[in-house]
Amino acid sequence: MLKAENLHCVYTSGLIKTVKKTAVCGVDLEIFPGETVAIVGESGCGKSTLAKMLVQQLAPTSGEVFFEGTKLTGMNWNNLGKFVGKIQLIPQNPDDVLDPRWTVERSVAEPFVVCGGLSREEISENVDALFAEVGLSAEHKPRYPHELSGGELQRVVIARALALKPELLVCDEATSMLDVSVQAFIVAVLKEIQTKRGLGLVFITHDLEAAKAVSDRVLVMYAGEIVEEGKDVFDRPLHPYTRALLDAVRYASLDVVLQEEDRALPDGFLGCPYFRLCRERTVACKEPQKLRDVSGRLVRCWKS
Amino acid sequence: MSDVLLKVSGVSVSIPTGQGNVHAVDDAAFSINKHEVFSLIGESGSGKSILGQAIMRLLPPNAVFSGKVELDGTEISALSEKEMQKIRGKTVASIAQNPYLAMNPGIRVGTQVAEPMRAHLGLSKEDAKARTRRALKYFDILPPEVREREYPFQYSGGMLQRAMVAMGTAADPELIIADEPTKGVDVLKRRNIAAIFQKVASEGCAFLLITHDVGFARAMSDRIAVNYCGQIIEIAGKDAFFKEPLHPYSKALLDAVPERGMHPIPGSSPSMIEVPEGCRFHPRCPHKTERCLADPPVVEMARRCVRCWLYA
Amino acid sequence: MIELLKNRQIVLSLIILGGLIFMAIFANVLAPYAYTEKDLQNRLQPPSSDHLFGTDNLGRDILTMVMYGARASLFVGFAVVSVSLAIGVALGVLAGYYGGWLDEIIMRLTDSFLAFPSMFLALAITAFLGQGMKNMMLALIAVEWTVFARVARGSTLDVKTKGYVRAARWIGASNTYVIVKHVLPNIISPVLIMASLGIGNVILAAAGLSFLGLGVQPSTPEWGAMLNAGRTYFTTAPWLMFFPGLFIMMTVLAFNYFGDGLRDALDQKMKNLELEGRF
Repeated sequence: MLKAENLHCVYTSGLIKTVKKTAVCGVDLEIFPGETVAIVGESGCGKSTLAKMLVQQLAPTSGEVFFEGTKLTGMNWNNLGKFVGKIQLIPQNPDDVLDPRWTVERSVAEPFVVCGGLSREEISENVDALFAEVGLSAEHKPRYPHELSGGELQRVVIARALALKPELLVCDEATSMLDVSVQAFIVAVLKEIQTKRGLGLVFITHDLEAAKAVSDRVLVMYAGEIVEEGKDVFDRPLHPYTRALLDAVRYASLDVVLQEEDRALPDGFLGCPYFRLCRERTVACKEPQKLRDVSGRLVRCWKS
Repeated sequence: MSDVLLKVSGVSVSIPTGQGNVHAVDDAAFSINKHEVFSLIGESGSGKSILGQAIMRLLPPNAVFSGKVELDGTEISALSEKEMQKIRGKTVASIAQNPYLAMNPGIRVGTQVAEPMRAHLGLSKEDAKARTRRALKYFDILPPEVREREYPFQYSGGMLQRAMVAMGTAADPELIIADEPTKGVDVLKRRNIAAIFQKVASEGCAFLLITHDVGFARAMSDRIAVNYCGQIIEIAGKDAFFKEPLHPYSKALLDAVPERGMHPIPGSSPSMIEVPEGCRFHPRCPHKTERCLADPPVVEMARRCVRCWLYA
Repeated sequence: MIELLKNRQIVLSLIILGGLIFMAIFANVLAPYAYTEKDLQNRLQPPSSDHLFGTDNLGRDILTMVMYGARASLFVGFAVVSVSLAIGVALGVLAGYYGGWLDEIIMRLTDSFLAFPSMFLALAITAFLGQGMKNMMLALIAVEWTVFARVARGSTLDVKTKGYVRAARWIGASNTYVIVKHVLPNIISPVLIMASLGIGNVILAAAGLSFLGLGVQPSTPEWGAMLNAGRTYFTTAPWLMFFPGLFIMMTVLAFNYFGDGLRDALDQKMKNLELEGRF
């Protein structure tokens, strides 16, 4: 359904001396209808940038995104209009997406109002249906964002995203600011919607356990690259970074304080980006690493 | 001398707001032994942070406090503000959530770490300096001679986090209160914070961890207290708790964590202003009966207690 | 809105402003004399029961003049601020929202206006356009709009980065829709605060210009012009200057208080929201 080819994103900053920072580097991915894909990585690994490029909120420096065979990248705003709503982003901070001066009902109705063609009654019926779908009651409708809890807000945002009948939802850390019980609730809501509507779901998170509980397929990202991709990644992690993430989420070997500031690599280093932190590194890791197919799994490590 | 370091008994805090009184803490009672890591877990908005502030006596000025907090046999809830200042940072230290906000950006890190030593231990400048270097070295901020002269912005996030812990532990506190140390950080940083805390705890410092992160609490603590809607509903040793939680809310909470399949708790958290009558969990509880409309007793058992009618 | 009335500063300034506005509107009913009525027999009378504020050098009642003067001053204040607000907010929002060369042009324009001290600029413009109320108002608008443009641009830049603006774009909303429905309502509070502070400034500046003889004619009842007219009699009949001066001070203070109070109240609202967020 959604296909990304060789996506790159380079941020440049600085006026006199331009500093280039590669956020996403050569990502290929494909999402099939009705599938849940989790993209896992630490903060700063480029997963949010990737999400923004997938939903066309950010133009990639190079590379292409296709939606059901149509190339979206480079399309102008008017033509893109047809695809608007088909791919929706659920961001990390729901209160940021809702206008603080609007009632949540009005926010959920906004997509219908903007797209036009519906009478006031039809809009309000649709809004009621959406509220019911995400498990919110009518008493929430006239409230303002600051009067709702984080979980309720996130459900409002999901309701709004569903308004235009999307085929793909990209959840960018949509649950990581929430409490476990609320997190579980939101995930349950998303899964229910997915089975009912048959949507594709991209679930971006740093929490491998959450990713495992939710997804069919997992992509592990490190330093803008996909280092591992496959179905049973958590039961049989092949890349050392995936193993480190798993250890972290299980709080294994707490006797060592990791020195994450040591990760900086020398300029022009083309080898494995995880070189400095990897406990299993050898000289061969200084060579560029390619994604290799290891029994149905893609791994960017020559050792696997 | 007993082993009890901090004893909290019958502490209630309510905060008047425009909408009514927020009953943030209701009849909290627990004790923390020396060298013990004690976690208070609960959802955000359940009043657990307010309890932490109440122990440190750093409540908002309009909060109404009642109850008793004893530290090492001294009733600190009755001390004057001036006496309390001597205790904060010395016997009890708190570690803030965000290192970028907790450290003064305009003062060298070394000076900031040395400050509690000079203020509370009365060390001379040289002694404090030597000790600061030792502390920085202990937390792998290397080389300390160079790093102590740097400013917070020159540190990486992880290093600053360690410097903040170094500052918190500078005056050798007996108890550290950490409020949501893992909020909004990714798994790797979370693990690292756990590792640093473990290092400090191994030196014999007791911890009160206030967190919503069940996994973190599980990795760190000796004993766990569960907070729901302003009340502590269960206190148990870690192993016993994770093996067999007693209170229906504890069970539901553990079932909601990703490792156990993310089963949501039905219903939504009650308002802290109009709290449900009787057991505060009863509207969402699968085992509710008539008696749950009356205040449930705190049932004491071998090495644990639970606030529920099921065990009465 | 009702919460605003809990702020003592706002209530006090609202009472004063209400009184002033009432006085200005009903000056023809309330005033004991007609403002054109000259009583050369009773020139330069000190305050008495007949003439509460005394009389001026032509024997006109100062209380009457002050009441009619409130009309002129408040009219100038409100009119200048409304026009400046409209111009400034429109340009500021456009600059902030679209950015790029449009932003550069508009902001360099405001910068060039701001480069001169405001009073000096107003003086220069009135000197160029000639004396008179209309020209004075034009000069004040030229000075005042830059403030609104700056504030509106700054707030727009802030609002523009908010998720709801991006989200509205992504459901296919047009730029105009976003500006009208999302940007304007969210920048209105800082703009309103600036407006209430601005009215005070404008009234003061207008009085200043009139005092220098660049505003309204000295014979028309306007507080600044009255000050100017009373200047020569300051040692013998200080009430000629005292009462208009007092009213200028009161009005300006009331508007400033109102603006301050508004800002505090809105900040407080923000603070309360944050506080509630903790539970």
